[in-house]
Amino acid sequence: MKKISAYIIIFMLLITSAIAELPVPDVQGINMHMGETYGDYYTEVKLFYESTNGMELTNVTRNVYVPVGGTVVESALEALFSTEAESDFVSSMPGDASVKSVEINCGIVTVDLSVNMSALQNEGELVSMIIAVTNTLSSIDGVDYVNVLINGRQESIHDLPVGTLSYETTATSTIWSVFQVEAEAFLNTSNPQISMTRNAALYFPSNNGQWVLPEVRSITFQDERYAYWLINELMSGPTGGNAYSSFIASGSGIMSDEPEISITASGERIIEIYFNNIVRDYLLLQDISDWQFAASITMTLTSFIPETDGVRIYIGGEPLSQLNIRGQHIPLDDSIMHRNTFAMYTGSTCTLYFAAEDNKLCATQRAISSDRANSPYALLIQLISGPSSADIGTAHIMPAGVTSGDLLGVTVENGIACVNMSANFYRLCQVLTEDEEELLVYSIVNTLCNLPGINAVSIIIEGEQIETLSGSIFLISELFMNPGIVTTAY
Amino acid sequence: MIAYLLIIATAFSVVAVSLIQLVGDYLFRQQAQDDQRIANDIAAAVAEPFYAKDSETLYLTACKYTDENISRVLIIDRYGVVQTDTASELNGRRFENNESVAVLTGENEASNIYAADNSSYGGFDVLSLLSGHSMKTGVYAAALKNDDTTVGAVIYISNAQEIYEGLSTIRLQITLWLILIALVAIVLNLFLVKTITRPIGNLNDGIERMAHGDLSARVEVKGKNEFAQLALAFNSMSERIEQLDKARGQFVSNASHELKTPLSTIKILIETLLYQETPDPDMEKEFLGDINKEIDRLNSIVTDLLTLVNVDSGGMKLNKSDLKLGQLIQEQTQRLMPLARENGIEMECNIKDSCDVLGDATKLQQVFYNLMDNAIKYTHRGGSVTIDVSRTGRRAIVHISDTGVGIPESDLPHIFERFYRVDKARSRETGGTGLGLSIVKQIVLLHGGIINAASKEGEGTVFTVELPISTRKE
Repeated sequence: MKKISAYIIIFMLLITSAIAELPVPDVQGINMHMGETYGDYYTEVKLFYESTNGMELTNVTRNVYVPVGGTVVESALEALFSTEAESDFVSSMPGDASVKSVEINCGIVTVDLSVNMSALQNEGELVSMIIAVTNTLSSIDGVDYVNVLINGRQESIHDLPVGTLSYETTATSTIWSVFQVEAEAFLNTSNPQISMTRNAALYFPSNNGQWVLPEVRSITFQDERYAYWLINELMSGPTGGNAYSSFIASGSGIMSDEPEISITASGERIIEIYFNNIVRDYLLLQDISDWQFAASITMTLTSFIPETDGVRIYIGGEPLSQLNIRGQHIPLDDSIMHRNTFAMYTGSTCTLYFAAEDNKLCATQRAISSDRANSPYALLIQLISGPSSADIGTAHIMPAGVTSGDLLGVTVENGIACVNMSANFYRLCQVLTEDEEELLVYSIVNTLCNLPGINAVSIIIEGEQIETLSGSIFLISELFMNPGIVTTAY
Repeated sequence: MIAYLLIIATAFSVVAVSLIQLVGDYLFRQQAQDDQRIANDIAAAVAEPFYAKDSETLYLTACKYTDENISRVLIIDRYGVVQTDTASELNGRRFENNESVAVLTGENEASNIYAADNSSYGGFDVLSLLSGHSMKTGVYAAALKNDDTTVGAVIYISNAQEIYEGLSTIRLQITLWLILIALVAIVLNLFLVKTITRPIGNLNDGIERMAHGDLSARVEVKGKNEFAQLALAFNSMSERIEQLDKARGQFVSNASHELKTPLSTIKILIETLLYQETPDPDMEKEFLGDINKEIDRLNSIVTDLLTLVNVDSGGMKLNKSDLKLGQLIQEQTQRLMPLARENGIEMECNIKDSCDVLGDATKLQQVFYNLMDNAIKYTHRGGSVTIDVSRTGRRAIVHISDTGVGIPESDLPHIFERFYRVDKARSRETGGTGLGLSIVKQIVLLHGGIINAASKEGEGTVFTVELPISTRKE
């Protein structure tokens, strides 16, 4: 009997051991990620060069090196302007052309090129250069529009504004011809039926009073009063999301006179804008500061109207001679505002995910510094700080007591963001229900996976891998974004 | 009838169960193959975005293959953690069940259909994966490979409830057909009972009644089918048996009577002789002579009865030989001529053909002697008896005609019956036993011949005997 029992036990043990289970990852050692760490990496980009016939562009895919702290846009531009010309292609860039500055805001890249215009033999070369830059940058993930400035100003083609471009045809000669035909029709007629449509970057105040945020809009111009039509479009307000603030309402009596173009003694081409005093009431009503108002006008007009160096704004007949930007008094020389006056206050938006009803996440946008917009660390700090008053219908997702100090570090490597949280965070998470745990984890994962170059997120505690935060969501694997959990995006 | 129904029900149950099993197996197998193919297709479609961790493409691609309440797709990584769920409910959970384990540990694909009783494994209630809580849910897993290494799996979950419900419909239809056919069988059975079983039952009742002695039992005859013919035959048979029984009873009664009459006479005569005070020799002689006659008569009756019994039992053997019928009849005529002359009757024999026949001479002599003797007995003095022997074709025809008292028309059909007497007093007076014509008829029939009689009361009687001509000489 004992023998039989022993055999049965052995048999049962064999059967039990034969039942397969899911694989489990190897136990990893402690890896205490602190602060924010990006790895350098190589990535593929499409570079557009002029073909040998000079009539069109052709592209070549190259691996470019993205250094720590750099962006793919900068690396792509560096490769495009590199003097190491491709043997089979001709660079569209003049020999002395270089990149002066790059702004990346809300999917819009504004590239300011330093080019000796007198070196350009004709407008065709200008078209080729602009389209090469546009197509190269538009091919990069996260870039929707490209604004190309030459020496800080928009250049015209056939005396028409170029506007903000997205990926264009590679047949540059065709583009040049289209501009020519458009110019002949638009510039030499008083027929109001003939109009011109361009994409323009409109800059709106952010709702937190800290930034101006660009938004590309397709605008139909009935005549050459570009400033008038652009300001009119600004007054119609933003459509981009809840990070933007409404602009002053449009209506009669806002502007006392038509905008004018004047040339200063130093030779700068300035647009004079005349507002009535009522505009101050509107700004007060909308909680928009003077500098945001001035920045919106200046950035919008100088980003579109060709060969414009600055803007002078009059309110009630008095020019704005100084601005109070974030508590700093900035005097304006001759009341003229240049594009670079506000370039550093041009922000970007990031997408954060907070809890919504029905165990869903709600995507909400927040204005943030452009250089921090793609920072996972910065976004997590925003996430920990919770929703703002503008994030209607959302709820704080972090357990009570979690602070920014509980975010120990974020490391991004091979498309995976590893978020290192504190033991205190882990302790506070123990009370979470299954739904709360799911919402917390995926608010982090979805927020970070919205950033370029991040496809998955792993969460560790004090450098150690854990199985779950409170028993439901397994953190043994890096987690992909969960698109289905998002209910409404602003 | 219940037996029929039981047989039909059993047969249908077996067929229905087998059919449902076969159809069910086929449908489930077919759906399993189709759904596994879908799982493999999804795996092929999401392999690249999965490796690139492109969650948007993964989600959108998976959603293309799903339909609310009918199917759902999970994409799990190498540790079983759900990375994409078209219902966005299980992201981040480990999907640990037989199929996911099988695929993540090396199999290319695995599948199973879960029912209400085997749905739970590894903490997952598979049946709850589809909204509406399907009673049967198929789980199909396909491996996601990268350079022959399993990096994840696609889990395709589909609703097998539709097939289950389809099977229920088939089961219901088969049951309805079973009931319908059972009803048809009952109606058919009633018809069969009416047309087959009931006539057989009636016939059986008739036979049983007859077996119990009721010879008057008859069966109702309906229609013209085989059962009706059988009933007719039965009725005919029972009628004949009844007649025979009556005849037997009559025969016994007659035989008893015939035997008792001479015995009574003998007893009276003996008692008279015994109890007379002064014996009279003449009277004694006369009485003894009468007693002797009665004994002769008893002897004749018993002899005739033995003859008939012999015929009836098939014991009478004919000692056949070729003989000339005319000569035989001539001899019998000669034998009876003195008797005829004594009775004042003119007797004439006309032999037109000698008529060679094959027969028992003794028995045929008995036939014609008997017929001629009867003719003489029942013919008044001055009358005549004529015997004609002739041949018609292959038959020898013998007419024995007399000018006697004749036979009443009502008696004529019965004269060949045993102990039947037309004039009972007279026939006994003439010394007949009442069995002579019966014996005659039996002998004629044994020779393959026929005998009949024609008569007119007061004018005479003609007996006609037909015998087959012998073919030996020819």
